[in-house]
Amino acid sequence: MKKLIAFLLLGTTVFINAQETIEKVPANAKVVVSANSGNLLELMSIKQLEESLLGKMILPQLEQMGIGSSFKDVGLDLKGSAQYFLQSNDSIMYNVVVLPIKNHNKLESAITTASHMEIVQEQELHTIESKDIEVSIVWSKEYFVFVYGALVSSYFKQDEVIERYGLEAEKEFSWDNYIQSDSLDTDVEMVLVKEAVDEPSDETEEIEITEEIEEPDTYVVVEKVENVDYEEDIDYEEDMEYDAAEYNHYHMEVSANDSIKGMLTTAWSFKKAKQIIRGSKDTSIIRNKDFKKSIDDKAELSIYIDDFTTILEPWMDQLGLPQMRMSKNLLNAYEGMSNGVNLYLNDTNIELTLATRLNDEMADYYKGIYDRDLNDKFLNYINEDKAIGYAAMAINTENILKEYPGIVSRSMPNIPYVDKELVDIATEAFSLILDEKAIGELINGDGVVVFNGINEREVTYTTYEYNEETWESEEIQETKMEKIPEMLIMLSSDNPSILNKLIAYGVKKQVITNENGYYDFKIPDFPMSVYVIIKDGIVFISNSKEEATQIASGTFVPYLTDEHKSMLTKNKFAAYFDGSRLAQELPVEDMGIAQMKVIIYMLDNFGSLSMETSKMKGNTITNKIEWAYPAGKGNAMEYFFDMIQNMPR
Amino acid sequence: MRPFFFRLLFLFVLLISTTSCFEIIEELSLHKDGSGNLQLTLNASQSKSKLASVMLLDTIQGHKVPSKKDIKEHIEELVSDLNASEGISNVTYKLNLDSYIVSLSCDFKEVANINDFVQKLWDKQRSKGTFKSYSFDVGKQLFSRYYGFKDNLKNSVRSLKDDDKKVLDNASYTLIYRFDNTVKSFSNRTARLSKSKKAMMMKTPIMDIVSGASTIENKIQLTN
Repeated sequence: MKKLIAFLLLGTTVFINAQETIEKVPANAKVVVSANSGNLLELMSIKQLEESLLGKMILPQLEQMGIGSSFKDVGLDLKGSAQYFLQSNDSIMYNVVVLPIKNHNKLESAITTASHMEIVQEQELHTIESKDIEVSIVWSKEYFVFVYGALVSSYFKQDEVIERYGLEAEKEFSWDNYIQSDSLDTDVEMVLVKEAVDEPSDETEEIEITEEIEEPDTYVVVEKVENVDYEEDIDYEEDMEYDAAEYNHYHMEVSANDSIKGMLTTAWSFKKAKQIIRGSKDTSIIRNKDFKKSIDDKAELSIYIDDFTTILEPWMDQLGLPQMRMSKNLLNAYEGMSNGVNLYLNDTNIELTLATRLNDEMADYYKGIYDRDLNDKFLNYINEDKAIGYAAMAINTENILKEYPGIVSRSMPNIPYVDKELVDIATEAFSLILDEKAIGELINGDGVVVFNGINEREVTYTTYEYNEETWESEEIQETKMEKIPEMLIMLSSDNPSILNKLIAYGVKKQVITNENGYYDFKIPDFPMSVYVIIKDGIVFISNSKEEATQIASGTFVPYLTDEHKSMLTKNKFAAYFDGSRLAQELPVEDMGIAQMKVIIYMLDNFGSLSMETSKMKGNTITNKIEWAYPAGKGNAMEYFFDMIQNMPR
Repeated sequence: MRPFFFRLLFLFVLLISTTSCFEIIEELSLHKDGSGNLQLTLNASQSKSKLASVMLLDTIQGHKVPSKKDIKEHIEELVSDLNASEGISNVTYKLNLDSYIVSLSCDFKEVANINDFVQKLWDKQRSKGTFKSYSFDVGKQLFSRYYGFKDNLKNSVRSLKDDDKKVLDNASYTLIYRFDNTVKSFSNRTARLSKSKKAMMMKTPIMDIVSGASTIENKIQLTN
């Protein structure tokens, strides 16, 4: 079985998206991962891939399994597509992989070689049969479908469901339940599973799709365990506090139920695999407008997540812990949110976009929070030639404080042991205590942190001078140059009067020094000086005296290209980091860290990374991460493989 | 729990700081009758930016970072132990955590009192071995400095991780001995005699002591 899964993984490794396989993904899939191998193989040929480190890792395993010495020997269509999707209902979660087939005979040969199982034909479909198999595999001449089903345990704890499938009601295991128990019935009989295995129908929302659900096949399970003599089997001591026989009974119940549940999983998964392979365009996710909007055909890899709370809920139920139920309540705030992720491997960069569509209520909160633009005066204090990176944000502090109680209240409607009214009182008290407007005027909510590289500064230290006559020592102060990272923080403030008062008090108490337009803060235990300037409605915090002087005197020379100006001002969050420049500035020789060569190699070949979160468009927020690697490294695929291959060891 | 931004900044300061630098100074003033004063100083002022950053973290390279309170408590415990030791008196200490300098001073009736105290400290650490640092023959006016930790120190340093060993790379050890009488002769040629001929000093990298390239052992014959 492990070999079969390994074989599937090998197949999917070299795949990525096309139209045909996506048509097999049902409209109500909760998560869809599409890999577009056509785009990928434009960047790197199969031959190049086979000669890469990845190929060298995978191909020997293919050979060892007796499948062949090339990716082509697997029989799958490497220029086709691969899909993974998750579909769930209240009783089962299906994890499904759909792959296109290029050579039907080669694939069957590879499957039998890898799995040592017999191929069984059912109408136009083929499958493999084994008692041990945990997954369902079905293929036609064009498609290969793999289904792994996981039952939702909370569903099988319902009385009606227990009765329907002939399950034993399971006690929640606790030692307390098994102390000093009464007599035990040693005959444990497993009963028939109801003849028709009713699978709850899949729910389809928003779009009108009628998915044809076949009547399930009939399964009969009869198994009887007779007269198990626990006294003989278990050598337990008489004075044990718990009843060992009862404890074993508990395990018998579980194992009987597991057997029935296993049958159900296999039956439902097999039926699902057949449904998927026979699925048509009309029942496919390509009819789902939300999916179409989220996914880009040009991307090498795409991920679609439809309302991620519905994915997490079954897992949380499965775990059944109170804290999980609490997390589930927290997720209520994000109900109905969908996400679309697209990965592009371009000639000069790698780009990842994540679009999140919020529900109307959360969208309103976020619109309030995002209701502020970045102060464009910040741009007068950034010099791109000097800066190695920056991070900026533009949010509305006043609105955050106003909206926060609402978000908390919505997120915690039913936390066990917590009174909802108490939550409402606490959130209202929060609003009463805080003067949102005053705080919003002090810290508006937009700011930038600029990392201005590593610079040298003179520091003093204590050492000793010795009198040559007597070797008596005397403390003296000497200086040395030290490298420190320089930072500048800028925050907008419409009303910094409280800060001015605090500074005036600090000056009076001699912990702050007024130095011609900037203040030198002596912060206890802080390893460097901090300089503060309040000017033009901006609070500047810097650890560079030179920069503080330039800002205070108006002699700072800014420089920003339009690209960076736009990135800073057009987004709600923006961050940029130039790894290669940092590598040039690091005092490598002095750092003396054993693993440094790997870090320097990584930074040197890193290029630059930028991240941005857009303003809201409708109910959608788009995040973009762009990794522009250094020129001359080939396309994204070649760059990746080159990086891994040449990594210092 | 400090904000992520500051943790990042401190870690960065640590990362780019030049390798650690500290000095240990051992000053011993010995009278004719064998009594005297010992002062030990640890000066890490040159690494104060790095240490200040370390102090703001909870752990560094897997080692727990002591708080200022912990450091003070440990030194006070040492002072209390010294005060309780036979023949030792006037124990004082200075702790400057802005410059990262700590010094400890005490008077002794005879150098054997210091040896006994060091042995007690050593035994407290459950380490094996008998160690003697000083001896002074009052009749012959012969002072000897021994170095009994040779193998123990070498093994301890060898067992350190490479990154931890770097801490010792630029560290130095200074030994100063002052006497009532003038020095007639001495065995360690790297030691320097003062112009008054009543004091000796030697300064050596700690790694040289560890590797055996240099020794702090010395026999100093004083005039009667």
